[in-house]
Amino acid sequence: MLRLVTDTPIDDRAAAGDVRAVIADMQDAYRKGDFARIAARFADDIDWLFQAPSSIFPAVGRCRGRAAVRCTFAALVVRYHVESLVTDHVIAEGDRGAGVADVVLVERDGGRTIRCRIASFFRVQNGLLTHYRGFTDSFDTRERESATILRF
Amino acid sequence: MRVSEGETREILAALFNAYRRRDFDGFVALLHDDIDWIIHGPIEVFSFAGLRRGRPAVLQALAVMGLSYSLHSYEPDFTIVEDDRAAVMADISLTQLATGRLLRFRAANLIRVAGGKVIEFREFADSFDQAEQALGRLIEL
Repeated sequence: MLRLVTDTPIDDRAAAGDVRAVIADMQDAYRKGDFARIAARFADDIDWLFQAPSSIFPAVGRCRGRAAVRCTFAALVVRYHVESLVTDHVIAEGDRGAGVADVVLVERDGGRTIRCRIASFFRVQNGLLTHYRGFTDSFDTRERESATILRF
Repeated sequence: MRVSEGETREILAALFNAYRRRDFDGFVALLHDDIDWIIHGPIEVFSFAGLRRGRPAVLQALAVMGLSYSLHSYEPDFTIVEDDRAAVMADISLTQLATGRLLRFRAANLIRVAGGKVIEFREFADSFDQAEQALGRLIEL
């Protein structure tokens, strides 16, 4: 279910700016499809870049500012339901964090399941996400998304 | 035994310095016997990609990589360390030996150390773009 209004109180540690708590809060919201809660974590001047061809994936490429990232993120959650998101380990230092997660997305139209491993890098200030960088094996993800073996 | 952040930083710096200097022996000396190594990418294009377990398997992958590519530059610009783990983002460029083509990409490296060596290594990049660069053309969708 895509939720546009959140009823989850913001975690105290996350509100205080603890990068690990902010990441955990966002990932929990992502798992629950709580888009409003995720968007509430975007800083006004957020700088977002997911390293994959924007011509073939939604929610990738670079966008700046809360409104642009909300639009990009909305394209993802409208198209896919998050079946699961399991994070291996989060590394945190100062206002920066990184982690690797196994993500399972289910296409809302068609029900195709896409499994991918995503490495994420975060920078947090005052409890808000100011920078995000995401990496995945985009070749593999494209094959899973299209259910075809790419020819070359 | 708990690994300090200082020790992790030292190992990381030594590893990347060896890589940048093309110091193969120095690089290999920093790999744990039981290393768990994954470069995420299509093995149809990059035969050295995928899971390798144990130092001999990683050496074999590095040897295969060395037959096809030489490192042009490795420029890390984001490093975080916590205990025995580190995460790095870097701009990398490789020369494809067969064509002289330069591949440029941004990569994420996630590393864990134990016993003074690297025991876990993960590399992520936009592998679709990497494959198109390696092939020198767009991939048919």
